[in-house]
Amino acid sequence: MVRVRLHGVAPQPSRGANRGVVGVNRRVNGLRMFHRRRTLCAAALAGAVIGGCASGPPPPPPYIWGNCDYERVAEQLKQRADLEMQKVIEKRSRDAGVHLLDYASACLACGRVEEAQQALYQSILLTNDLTVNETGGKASLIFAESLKTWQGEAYERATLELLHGVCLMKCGDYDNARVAFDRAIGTDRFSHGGVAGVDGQVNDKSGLQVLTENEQCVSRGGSLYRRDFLPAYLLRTLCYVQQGRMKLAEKSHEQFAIVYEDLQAMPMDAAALVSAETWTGKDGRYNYPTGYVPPAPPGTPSSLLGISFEELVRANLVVIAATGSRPRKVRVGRQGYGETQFVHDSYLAPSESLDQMDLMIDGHHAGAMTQCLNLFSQVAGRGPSAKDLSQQFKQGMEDFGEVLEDYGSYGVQYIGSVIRAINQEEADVRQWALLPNAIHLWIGRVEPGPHELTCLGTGRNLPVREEGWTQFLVPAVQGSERAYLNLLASDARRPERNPVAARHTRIERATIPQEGLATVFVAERFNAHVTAAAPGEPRVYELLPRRTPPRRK
Amino acid sequence: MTTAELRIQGITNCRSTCRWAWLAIVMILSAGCAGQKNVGRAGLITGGFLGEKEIARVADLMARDLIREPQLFEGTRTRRVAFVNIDNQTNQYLFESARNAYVQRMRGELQRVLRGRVEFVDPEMEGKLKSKLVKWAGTEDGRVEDPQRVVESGVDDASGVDWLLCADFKSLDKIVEFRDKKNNPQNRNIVELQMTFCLVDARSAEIAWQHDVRSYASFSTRDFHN
Repeated sequence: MVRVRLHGVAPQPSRGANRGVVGVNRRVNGLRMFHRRRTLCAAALAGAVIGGCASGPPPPPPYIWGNCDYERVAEQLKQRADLEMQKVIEKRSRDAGVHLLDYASACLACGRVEEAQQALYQSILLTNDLTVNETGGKASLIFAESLKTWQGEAYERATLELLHGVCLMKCGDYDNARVAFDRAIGTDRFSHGGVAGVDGQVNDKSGLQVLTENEQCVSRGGSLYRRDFLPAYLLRTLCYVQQGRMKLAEKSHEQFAIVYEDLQAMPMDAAALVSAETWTGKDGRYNYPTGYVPPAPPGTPSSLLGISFEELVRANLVVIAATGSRPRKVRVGRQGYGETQFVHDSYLAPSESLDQMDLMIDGHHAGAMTQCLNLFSQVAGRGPSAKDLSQQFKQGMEDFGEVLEDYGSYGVQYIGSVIRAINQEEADVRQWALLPNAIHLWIGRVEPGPHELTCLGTGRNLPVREEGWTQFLVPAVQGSERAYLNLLASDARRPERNPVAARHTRIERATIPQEGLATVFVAERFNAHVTAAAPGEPRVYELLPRRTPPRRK
Repeated sequence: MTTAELRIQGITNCRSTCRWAWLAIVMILSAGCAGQKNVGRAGLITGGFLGEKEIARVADLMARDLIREPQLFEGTRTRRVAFVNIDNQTNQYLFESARNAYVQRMRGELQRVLRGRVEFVDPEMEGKLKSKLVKWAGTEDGRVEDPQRVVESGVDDASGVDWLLCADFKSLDKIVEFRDKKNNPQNRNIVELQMTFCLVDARSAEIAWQHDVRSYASFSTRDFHN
């Protein structure tokens, strides 16, 4: 129910479930300037039109990847997810995709692979069907964007296919796992930023034509960022090898090597092209950090850049570690640039993402894992989408309403106020919450039989926030990485002695078959007890409240 | 002006009016056709590749081609066929249950249209033959990936099966752009599916018959814009 407040102090926007209601109230407050009767009429009309439509987005869930008890979250979400999966797609709720994906992630993290695969497949059906809730989709062009059925951003859909492929690999279905990785590559490749960069087929009125004609935009958004879903190439190669299709496997590996080389050369290109303005335009959008986080540098002992096709064929163990929390989707607006005051969604870099992982097998250091995917860089390279265009359209509507309000006639002012009250330009920040930020891979051959795999969080982003660990233990072994790793691994088995080390490592037991491939998925728990994780502070963004009603003369 | 002249002028006016009317009708029709020109929908099937109508269509095309085969046309006895494998190389998921359902439906359709000339063995027998095919073709799941290997040797089969039926699905995904009524560009993912059906002689291991069927479907309505 929408409360219309006509008098008194304007409500302050709060970060909570009533954000949409507050936003509506804030707009409707502009009506106070009119005559009381007209104001009441306008408010009644606006309330009648948007009543029931202006339900604000739900608050973000309290869990993130690496900072929750996966088993408990899976049990919490199971009932709702089962209920959604029993319905036909058209009858599912608008947020069903988010719940299904969170449930799938939690199940995958705690080893319930078949349940995760079912939930992921249902999510794929949901996110690939644009015929669901078409009315809500069209209405979201004017009203709140949360009216849409959530179908995810391009990076979420690509990661969805990737994790589905991992589930199928763990189940031994390499045929369909290959399909999943192909679809992940395709979803990334045909994302709108890439299409716009190559074809230049965007609406002239949106002002993006300049961007598509810009060579820098084409080179950054069109070519490399469209085909940088690196783990999908590598895992697809493994699937082909397991299927016995060596020619296709070899081609897949060639593609992987080319993309990897391009990614390694990427920081140099980025340094030459770093210019936020040319990429972002002048409206405050896409002002993402231009620093691209590349995969592990070449030359590290087990960097996958140097892995040959023969080594891939011989490999019988693949370890996939998912670390870091998702890029946080937030409402942002940028004040002070002329008349342009957008409210739209954007992303903040996760502060807890590990950039380096190490692997020990049976107590012996097996090498550093290679970070093959960083979702924040996927987000940063996505380019403009149709949703962004619709948000721009809403901004145009808002400006149009303001112009009408400034007009002399009461009738025209009345229409302008109604337009502003109806126009809901709130950003949609629904998001796959239990999504990791980075994927690390280790591929190699070990002796068949049972093994103990220890994943160690290393590197500069090690989430060591406890003072004792930071002040004493880490400096004590500084300069000797091997000693540090041994200390981590040995203390991980004795949590009573060193609880910090136990939290920073994950021990998985795997049995390697005589023939075939063993797939191990490791979910980060390094931040399991970190509750005071400080998010990265936005640099140029100004969070809500961003819009104030125009002053009347 | 005489009556005859008036009549002639009336007829001329009438003809002129008719001409304009016909021209208008032609323009309206051509405008209507132009309005429905839509490259994204041309020849698309509905219901997906595993839909019943599509299976019936494919089975009908297969039967039409198969019936011209001299071995089948001139043969006096009913041939025994085992549908042993489907190889999915497309970008669409084909899980085991869907694969089995497809085999079952296709077997039923072929049995219906080729009644008296072909009979299919039961699924248990197909499973046994599939395991033999693995050994024979040398690839996992009995795939006939390399046709040369099929010719090398045959199956010493005591089940009386004459032919082994294998299917191979390949697809080409295209992003087709077309304009909607408001002249806005819309992208659609069009999947072109090429289904290759292959009959392999169970004894000589030669490819007895091969047939390609193509379908176009907008498998995913996702327009990749979001």
